[in-house]
Amino acid sequence: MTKSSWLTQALIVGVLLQLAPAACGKDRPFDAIVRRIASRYNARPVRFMGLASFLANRARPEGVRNMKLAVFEDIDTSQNLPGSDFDSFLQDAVGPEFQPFVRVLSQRDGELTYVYARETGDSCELLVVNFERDEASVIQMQMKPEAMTEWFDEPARRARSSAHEAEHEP
Amino acid sequence: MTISLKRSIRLMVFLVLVWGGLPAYGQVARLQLNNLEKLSKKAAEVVDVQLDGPMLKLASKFLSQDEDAEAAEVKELVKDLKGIYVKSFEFDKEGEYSDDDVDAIRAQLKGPGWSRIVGVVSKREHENTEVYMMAMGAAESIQGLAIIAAEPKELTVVNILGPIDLDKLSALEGHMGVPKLDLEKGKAPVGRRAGSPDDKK
Repeated sequence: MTKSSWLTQALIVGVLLQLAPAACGKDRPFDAIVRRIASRYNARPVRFMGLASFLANRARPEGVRNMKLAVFEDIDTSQNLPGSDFDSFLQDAVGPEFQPFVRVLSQRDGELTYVYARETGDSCELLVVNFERDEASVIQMQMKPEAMTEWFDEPARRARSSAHEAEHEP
Repeated sequence: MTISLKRSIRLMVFLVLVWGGLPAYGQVARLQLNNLEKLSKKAAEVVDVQLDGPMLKLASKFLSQDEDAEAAEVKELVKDLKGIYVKSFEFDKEGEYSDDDVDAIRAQLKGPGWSRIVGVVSKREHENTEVYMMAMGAAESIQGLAIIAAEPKELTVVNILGPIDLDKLSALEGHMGVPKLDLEKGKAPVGRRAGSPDDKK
């Protein structure tokens, strides 16, 4: 291999390495949360559907353009109280690009839901992290603009129902 | 040191102070609600809604796609706001939060610029709704608003940052996490700066 072709190859590899994180960046918070939940509860998601997944995008709830979903089952989430280290654990994983939007804790239902949002062009992307007594789910949804009106009107109600809608779609 | 150099340093110090003070002025109406966090353990339901600058811009953008008059009113109301923060607790039984918990919020509302504009106490329903407004500067422009709605089994604190038209405040009820508080019913006369909660008994 000549010196110039070696240099060209090295340059191409360098450029690709630079671009790779940017290309994957949009899903980084989702992956980070899934990894953190997996390591915290020593569990693996029983259902995992990527953004480009045919299944995920056929089964998406109304108002959702694209969706990414990870579901954990048979985990003990009883220590996830808001105000504990759990809030900062999630915020660290989500990073600065998503803004905290809604947090709903229901002791009655044993459910804790966090919703983060970020702007994406003409619409919005929501990251929903939902914990039930022995189950957790992480959902990243690219929303249709018209669906966001309902979210801003009734954020708590939408936060409560969104995780269930996403999890229980066929 | 030459006179011009001294002047330049003074000017720079002044600019740094002014620049540093600007965000603080904008955030001065923001309430610290951390003391309420401990109620989360006793509450049956806790809802926390946080809409700061970027989120409100988003909200304003999406509400503009809705053509009904109410949405237009809400959009008009939120377009200049800097933040809406709502914290509400629902309890299964009475007495789960104390006066001290609410007093910690009221204490912040005794600071400069704050005044109570509405105070409604319903002895029959044991409900207490207070609306506070922060006005600052020579023009007494509104910098923010706080609402405390206390019922035997519910406690809600709403904190709105930025200029807000008080006459249109009720339009926000039921939107952006602001609960329905019947503010229209309990609204104080325009121009009244401080109301006593006993007025409406």
